[in-house]
Amino acid sequence: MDAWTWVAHYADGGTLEELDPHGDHGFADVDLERVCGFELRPIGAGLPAVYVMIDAAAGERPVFFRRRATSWLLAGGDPSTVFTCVGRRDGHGATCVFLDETGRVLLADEGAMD
Amino acid sequence: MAAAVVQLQVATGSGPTLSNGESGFKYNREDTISGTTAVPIPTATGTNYSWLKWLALVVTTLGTTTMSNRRIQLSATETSGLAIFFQGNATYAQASSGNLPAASGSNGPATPAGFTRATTSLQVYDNTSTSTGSTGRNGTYCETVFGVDFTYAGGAGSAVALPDVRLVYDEA
Repeated sequence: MDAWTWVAHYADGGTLEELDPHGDHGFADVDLERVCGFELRPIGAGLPAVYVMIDAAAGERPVFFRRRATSWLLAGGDPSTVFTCVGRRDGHGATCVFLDETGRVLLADEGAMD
Repeated sequence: MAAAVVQLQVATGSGPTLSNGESGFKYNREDTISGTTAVPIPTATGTNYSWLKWLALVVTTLGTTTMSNRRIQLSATETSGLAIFFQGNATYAQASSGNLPAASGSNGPATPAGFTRATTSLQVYDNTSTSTGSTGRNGTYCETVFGVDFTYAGGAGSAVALPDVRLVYDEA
């Protein structure tokens, strides 16, 4: 179970939710050009909500992915670590934060997206 | 849940057959996950190689997401004289004595043609974006091979320790 689920907010007031009773969505389903806000809604208790304002008219688009890894085979460490990246990008670059499963911001520069 | 369940698997056989690799696998001179046919330590300057080990990220439970930015990473640097190399490869070829890299006349261990040495840094082997809407391999294979050179002084055995290997990917 991931720590957050996302909700894309459109300029016309509509939303697209990752977890949808009518069928779950991937980020590829989001109409990026219409997004005015992108929300990470916590699933677990004690986690912060995150909301990224998007100025679509200025060319901004949301950025979202979860960075996952297969477990270390022998060391037995961090088998379930997931980093959630959220932010926005435009023609000049991206501004993002990486959150671990406890809500800590771990990395926040564009190079970390590579 | 929208996220897929994904596992590191190892391809063997002519099919190939993909099997769970997250409990460990051995670099050997067999087309198996855990066989112990040894990679000989060179008796003079040079590098010998294992048979190929084909790793893959495999979707075992469907998602509504896409995967990209598949990378390989080691947990530590190998013992001196040992190395793991990789390359992305969409085309599988069953591991055999006929397709392992030819022994090198150099120490290093020498990097076989087309391969890159794996390190503790994340290195991309496949950056294509592929839906998790189908079970099975997602992205190309991560073709790997192990090398041992003449300088290796750790001694022989069927359980020579190597760093952990893991695959990292982005899912959205």
